[in-house]
Amino acid sequence: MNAIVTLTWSIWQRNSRWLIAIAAYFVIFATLLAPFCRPDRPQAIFAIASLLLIFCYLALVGIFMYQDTDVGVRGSAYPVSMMTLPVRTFKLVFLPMFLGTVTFLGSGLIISRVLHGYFADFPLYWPAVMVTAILAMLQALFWYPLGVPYSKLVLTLIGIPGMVYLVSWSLESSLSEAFVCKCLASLTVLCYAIAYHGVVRARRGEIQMFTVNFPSLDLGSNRAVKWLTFKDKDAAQRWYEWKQQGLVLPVMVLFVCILFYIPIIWNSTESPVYALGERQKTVPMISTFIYTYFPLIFVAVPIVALIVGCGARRTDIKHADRTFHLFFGTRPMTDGALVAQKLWLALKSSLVSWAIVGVLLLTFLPMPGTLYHADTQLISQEKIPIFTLLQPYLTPDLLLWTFCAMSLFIVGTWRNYAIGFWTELSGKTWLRYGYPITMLALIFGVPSALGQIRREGIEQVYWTVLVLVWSLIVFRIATIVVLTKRHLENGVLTPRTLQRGIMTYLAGYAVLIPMAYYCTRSFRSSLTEYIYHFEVAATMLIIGLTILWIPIVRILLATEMLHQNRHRAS
Amino acid sequence: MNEPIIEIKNLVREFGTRRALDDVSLTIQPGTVMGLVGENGAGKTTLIKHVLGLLKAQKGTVSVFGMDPVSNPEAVLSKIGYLSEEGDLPTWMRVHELMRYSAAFYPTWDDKYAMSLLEEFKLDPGAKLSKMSKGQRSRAGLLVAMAYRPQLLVLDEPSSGLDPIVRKDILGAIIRTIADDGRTVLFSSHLLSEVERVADQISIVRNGRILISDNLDTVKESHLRATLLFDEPLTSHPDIPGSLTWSGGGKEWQLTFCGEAKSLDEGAKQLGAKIIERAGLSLEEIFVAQVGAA
Repeated sequence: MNAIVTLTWSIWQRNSRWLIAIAAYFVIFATLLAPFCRPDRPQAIFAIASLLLIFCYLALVGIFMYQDTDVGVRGSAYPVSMMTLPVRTFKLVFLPMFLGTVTFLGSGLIISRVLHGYFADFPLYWPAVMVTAILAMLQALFWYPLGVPYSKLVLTLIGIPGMVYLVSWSLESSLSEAFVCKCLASLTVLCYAIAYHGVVRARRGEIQMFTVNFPSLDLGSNRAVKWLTFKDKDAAQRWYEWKQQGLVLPVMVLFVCILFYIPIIWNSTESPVYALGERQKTVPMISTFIYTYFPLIFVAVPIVALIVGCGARRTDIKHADRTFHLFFGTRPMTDGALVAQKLWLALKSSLVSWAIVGVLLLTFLPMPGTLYHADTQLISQEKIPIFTLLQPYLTPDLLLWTFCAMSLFIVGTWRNYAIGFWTELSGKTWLRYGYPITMLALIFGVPSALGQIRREGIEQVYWTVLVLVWSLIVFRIATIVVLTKRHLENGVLTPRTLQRGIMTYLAGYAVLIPMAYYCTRSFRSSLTEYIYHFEVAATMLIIGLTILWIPIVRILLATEMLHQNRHRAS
Repeated sequence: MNEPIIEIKNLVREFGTRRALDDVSLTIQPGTVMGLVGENGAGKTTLIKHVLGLLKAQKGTVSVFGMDPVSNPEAVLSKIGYLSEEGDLPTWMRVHELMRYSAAFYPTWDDKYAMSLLEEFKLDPGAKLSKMSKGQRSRAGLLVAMAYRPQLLVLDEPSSGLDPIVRKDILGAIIRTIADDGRTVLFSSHLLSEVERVADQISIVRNGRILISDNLDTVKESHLRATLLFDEPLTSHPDIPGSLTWSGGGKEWQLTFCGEAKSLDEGAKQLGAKIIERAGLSLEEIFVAQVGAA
């Protein structure tokens, strides 16, 4: 009994602040925010509230998994310090699992009950049972010594969406909620057993590590060594950054693509692509999944970049005090040059990620599609490759628009990756977590809030936004002047770097503003009927938004934060 | 006189309410091997971090090669070879990758010298740092800190927790650096026998203050142990200016002393005592006496 009390106390002691904050949010959600789940209330508030609820559950997952190791760990992620305690394994394993189960199930059922009270369609049981099963699955996965590096990450990325998909599919297939809950409960019990077996093996040291042994290198003659030469220190630092985390974003994008690809295999429904011409006699029909969900990848890549850029796997910062590792801090480079290599890393990672999406896109082209005859409302039986179906629509205008849009997505991915650097480099934990949460809340909340605007009010909102955007630009120019002056005084930026930076930004604007203007033509024309002097105002808005979109202040801030953290004054 | 390599004046550093460095002043001339000794938490690493520009002076000034290391990290760090006890090397790198990567930062990188060190330290160029022992990792760190023949070699507790063979390599590296055009070395350690072997100047740090900073020979000459014999038994030890610690009882008392021998003679004479034994102190004994007295 003492061991159980002590272990419970240790979990509380380590995480009391987080647990209190999460419990407080649950209460706020259940009492104040839950009513916004009703369709007649502003959905933006409920979207942000739900997002924060997900973050609370993610934090709880971290607490009950004791997760303090690298996600690439081959052995058990169960803390070694706890394995050496004179406590039997079933207590070590089952206690955090049981506490997790009670917390997830209890809070999930209460929240479902509250939401059900406001919105009768909200399910009562399965969401709570599912999140409980997900926690147990993650505990089993991470505590079991699988022996293969990054296997836990891979299985997590497959397991969670897989479970959500299976549950959704089961419920849509008319299986009863009770049956689905029983299956999930059985899975939870199985995970308890797997986790127990894993920790027993880890405690005994029975871990089979799968390693690849590379042959030793003869430094004088080996080609690999000759290949690894750097033109200068910038090139060396770029290599360092790339090796540290260059593949994180592309690998995550690859997983998103794989997850997206799996359902196409068994989903054979097709939908007409009205976007290519609703009033035409024949409309191409392609896989519904590709047509409906593929655009989500275009949104997912910049969002994943935002998360990665905020430090999902940054190893040049110490975990404990958030200062730099001495190796990184003692590189004989200016702070500006160190940030410049990170910006380069963001660009290369973004390009590789989009190349992966491009390859995925190419694999769709030989897939079969059909033609929908609008006048007869018949679908032709002949299967035609998508590429052939789309060929008549590939006008120079569409190709140019696609090129511009793709370029903007790539720049947007780089932008999202780069804007998080300043939080991570600051060494401030509250910024590191607070900033991405706020940004994600805005990403999901703002479009939802804009959707609430009534058509009669569009013009007023439009002018307000225009004034706001240009006011922000003025504020931004003032901030840039102050930060640049400071950087020049501190020696963080050299006049030459500044000159190159200005030229790069001006060139960027010269290309991006016309691209943004061209790509938003349909959006602009859709507003013409509501807004007086629309053309002039729209141009001003697009230019303003593009200027704000390209991050200058946050990149200057990244240099400032790196300077502060690298040469700490307090 | 040459311009000092390191010049620290009235440096103060506080972490919250704790004063880690208290009005520290230190000057290191070119060609000097400065041993920084002190207990754990005395402020040695904090001082070294100021030299590297990783901490900004809250009060006072730090100048390395005549420059502020915070304002000019590129210029200062490119002349410094650094090895820490923390083993901060990126463990995902292989030895040859670490060498090539480091070579790019220093125009003075000497490939032949690097290869000879690689051979001497018996390092496998294809080995990953994460798979190497702590001693091997230290050797790899030492290799990349020395291969560009830095003007200043900074070693922060380089031999902490290492076996005698690796310690020997590290000491050998320091000696070689000294022999190599009279370069400068700043190294901190609490293994005083090592410091005594290679340092020609020492600074004893305690509670963020520098108790002594001088030439090692001068320090050793100015410290001695003596046994005093009194005519009558004493219940407590007497006081002689410059005495650091006292032990013994009754008529016979031992003391450690810092100052000129003549002052000790005069002090003993005034107390009516005879000096019946006198001996020099090892650095370790000096350190214990100074720290015990402070």
